[in-house]
Amino acid sequence: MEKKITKQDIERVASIARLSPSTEELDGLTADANAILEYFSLIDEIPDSETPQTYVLSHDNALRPDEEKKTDPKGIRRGFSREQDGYMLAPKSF
Amino acid sequence: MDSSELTVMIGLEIHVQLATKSKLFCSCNTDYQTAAGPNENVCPTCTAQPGTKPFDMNAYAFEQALRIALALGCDRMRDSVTMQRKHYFYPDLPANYQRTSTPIAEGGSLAGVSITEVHIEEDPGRYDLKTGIVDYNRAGVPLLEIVTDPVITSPDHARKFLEELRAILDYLGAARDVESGSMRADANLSITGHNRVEVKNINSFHGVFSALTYETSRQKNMVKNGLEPERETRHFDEDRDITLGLRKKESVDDYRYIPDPDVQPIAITKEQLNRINASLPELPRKKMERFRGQYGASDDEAHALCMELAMADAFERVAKKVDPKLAAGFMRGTLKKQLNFRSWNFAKVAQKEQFIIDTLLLLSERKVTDKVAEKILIDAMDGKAGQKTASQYAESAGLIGVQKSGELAEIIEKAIAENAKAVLDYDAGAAKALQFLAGRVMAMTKGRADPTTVQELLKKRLSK
Amino acid sequence: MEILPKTLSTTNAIRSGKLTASANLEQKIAAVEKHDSAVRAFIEKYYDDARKSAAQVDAKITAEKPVGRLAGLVVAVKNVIAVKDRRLTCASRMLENYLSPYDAAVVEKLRAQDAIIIGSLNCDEFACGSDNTKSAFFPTVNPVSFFDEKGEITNANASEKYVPGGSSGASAAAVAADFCDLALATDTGGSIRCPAAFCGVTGFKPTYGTVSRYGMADMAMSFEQIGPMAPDAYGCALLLSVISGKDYRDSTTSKTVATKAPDASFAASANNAKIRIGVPKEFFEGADPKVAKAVKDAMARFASKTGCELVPISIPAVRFGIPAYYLLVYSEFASAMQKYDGLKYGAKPEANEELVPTVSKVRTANIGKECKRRIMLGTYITTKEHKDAWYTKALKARAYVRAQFDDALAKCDFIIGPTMPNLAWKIGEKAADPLQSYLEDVLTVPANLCGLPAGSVPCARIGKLPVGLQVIGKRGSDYETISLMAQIESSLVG
Repeated sequence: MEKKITKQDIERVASIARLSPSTEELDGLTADANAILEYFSLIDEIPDSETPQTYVLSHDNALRPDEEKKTDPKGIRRGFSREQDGYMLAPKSF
Repeated sequence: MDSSELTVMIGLEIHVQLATKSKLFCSCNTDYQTAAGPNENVCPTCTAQPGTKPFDMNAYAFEQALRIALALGCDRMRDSVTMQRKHYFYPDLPANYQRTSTPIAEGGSLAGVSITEVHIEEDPGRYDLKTGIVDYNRAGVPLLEIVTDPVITSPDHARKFLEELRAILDYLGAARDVESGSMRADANLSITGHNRVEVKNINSFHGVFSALTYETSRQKNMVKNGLEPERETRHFDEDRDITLGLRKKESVDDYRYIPDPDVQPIAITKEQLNRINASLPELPRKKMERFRGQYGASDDEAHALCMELAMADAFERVAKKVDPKLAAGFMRGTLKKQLNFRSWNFAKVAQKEQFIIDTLLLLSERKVTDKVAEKILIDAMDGKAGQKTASQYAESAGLIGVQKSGELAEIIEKAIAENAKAVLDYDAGAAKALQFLAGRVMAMTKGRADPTTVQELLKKRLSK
Repeated sequence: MEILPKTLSTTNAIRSGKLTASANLEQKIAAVEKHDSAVRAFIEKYYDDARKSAAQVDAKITAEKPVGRLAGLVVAVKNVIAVKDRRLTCASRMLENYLSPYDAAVVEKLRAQDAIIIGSLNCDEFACGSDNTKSAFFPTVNPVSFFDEKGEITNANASEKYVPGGSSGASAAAVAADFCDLALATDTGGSIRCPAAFCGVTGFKPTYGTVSRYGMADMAMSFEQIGPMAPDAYGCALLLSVISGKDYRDSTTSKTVATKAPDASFAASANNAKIRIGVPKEFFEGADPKVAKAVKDAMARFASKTGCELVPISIPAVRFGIPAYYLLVYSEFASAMQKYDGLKYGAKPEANEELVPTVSKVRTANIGKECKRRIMLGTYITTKEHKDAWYTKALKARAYVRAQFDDALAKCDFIIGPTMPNLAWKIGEKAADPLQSYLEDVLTVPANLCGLPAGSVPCARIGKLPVGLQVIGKRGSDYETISLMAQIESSLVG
């Protein structure tokens, strides 16, 4: 593995992922990340000429007709953390 | 430094809502503007409830995307299209990632603006930053994103580009009514040699012009004063027509794109492209060219007539019944003026096509003057004509031209009798007196008489 | 006398009227009430609804009306699969009180076939784990910890508590403890097969794209499938025939048809002499020698009884399985977990906070340690700077592993080996080092990387602890693979 992962790297990643680990947790996460990725750097042996594969199956185009179906929204609205006149209420940004 | 020497380079990313009944990856209704209320047209999938997956993609949405790409002249179509996940946290994004595709097609150009690529994506919901309210009715509506090269040279150039784009979308019927805020844009601008700035949250055609005007001005002023515009993302405030800087925390520079494992790539076949190409209608540019050749329309007339398909088609039917040049002039001039004044598109008067033909016939037979023709049209657009034909309405409103020379001759006698001094002046050689008398006659006929005819008859009578 | 698989005898008894659906249900409920305080499999019990369903099935049978293929069979559902208006916790604080607004496609199908849904089962949080100790609520205990020689729970106070495997530990435990006839679970990297092996039951992961994932909370979307767990291969085949098939709400099922329902001759031998079964040396190299021997003995017995050919093969790419698997799982999991911000559903954030800290706080407080670790790593390896070296490289590794397995399955009809390299460990034994846990998945992840059908049948017991034998088949050969599992099962009896 080229470079060790630093605590700053982990802090930055945590922020992107909307997680705020404590200082102790940060230490643990940094150690884990290094140990795990060190072991996984085994994949460096795979030739670069290999084609990346995301999709497991080959498919005919999965397309559906443009038809409308109504769903009762009650079950969805009941999950909202805060609600106001049918709107979901999130924190303001301004 | 003279700011007029500074050149600006503008690129646009235009988001067009495709005219489908259901959303891209679920079966919810897409008509969020007429929904019964907020969070009505929602289902587990478009609100990203745990466990949900995107449905098979909306076939009609994909087809319309291809049609638009081909109509824009994109000549480099991809073999297949893959959905990607674009990750960022924001309340209007149910899964905190947006599904957006790899390019469908590249190349193409419009109004002198080259197009980088077009792709398909999901619309987010609506989140109001000031109040915090969120509505997911719009989440998942299919969007086509059209990305231009940064070659637009001014806000006006942008306006021309968008006007032509709107015409193409109108011709294809592939996009939702573009008038009603279903087109949004992000812009990027830079003064040549300086940092590029992005502007987001432009939600209308008019907004594009305002945002670009403000931002061009802002950047030019900074550069003129030796300041470097910051490389940032700004937010367009539609109420105040200004752009504002966003807080750093909220701008994202790495979306961590990955192919969406839940959506299999969609292949684009030659057969499909050929079929779509063959079924494309005659597009605005070609129609304008044809109108110039076939009907002798001027550049200006052809452009005005062809910006809306309903109007172009109506013109062609009208031009079978009346003189094409008369029709072109009238529709480009009088009719368009009245439509613009009311902020209507032609589709709103499409039912009155026969009325327009009749009015033009009256005009060509000199039974009404230009002014009267305009008045008849205005009254009809205001709903005053009811079910009447143009002739019936004109007669009933006493607007029909003075037909019988007898009636006109009577009025001329009356005018001469009442204006003896003018007659004497005319006899003495004052040509202006004729105009005065003609004016009196016109007043007495309430403008219904044809001015040329009045002058001729007056001259004849006065020379006796 | 032929010994029928337990599931077949139960369903026969119900359909013939010898056993009412209600009586069957009450038996299961009694077992739950007696032993679940020790096993701790259930998150929520649906006794009232279950009793209503059972009564309806009984009424239909009495009136000689047609009933579904699962009529009267009691099914429990891993709590990552949506059941309408029931808590879908995913064993996480984040969703502790979240009620699903919809039924998963597979649950719709259970209902349509008259299954009796008894309740929801514990698991590792968001399916992240191999031993069911990572549930945010409580660990499930392997029922074999309490078994006597007859395989019945008698010593509920046993001090040695073994893990049931994971992440669908409770699903296997529930089947092993007779809390249900069948269980519906999920398998992303072995999460059905591992607990099946550890608890001594049968479990099957279908070919990728065979069963609709609509309603299954995501762990890693391109790896996982919902699959059946049962006391026998027959039960797995029966349940699979109900849940499989194309669903327009999961576009990865677009080319699928439902598998055949097993008939009575399901376990009868096909022309076994012609079957070639590959035995990869890499599957045995790192395994506990006792486990390796037990599996080899079972296979030898089977081969001698049926005449099939055991072919030694080598698949060196096996060593890349764990890195390829976990790197891609981290990436897909991090993406899947973005949706949990406390705004639309789930744990409630504190009011009147700014947007960004609100979301961070609710995620940090309510997502467990292993899940957070995976989110962090997944986020890290998909950032622009690191994507090529890790994410893209892992996609290449996936292709590399797949190519070798496809080669092997071109030369053989099936691949066989131990399901797990080790026997079940004790609860808490592998808590410290995540990597240690990951390495236990070495034999199960290849089937997920490659989308291959794979199942586990119990083949031996070492002391208290069961040993699982894994069968991997060609893509799309689900029925044949479970059929082979049934034959292996038969060959081990008597």
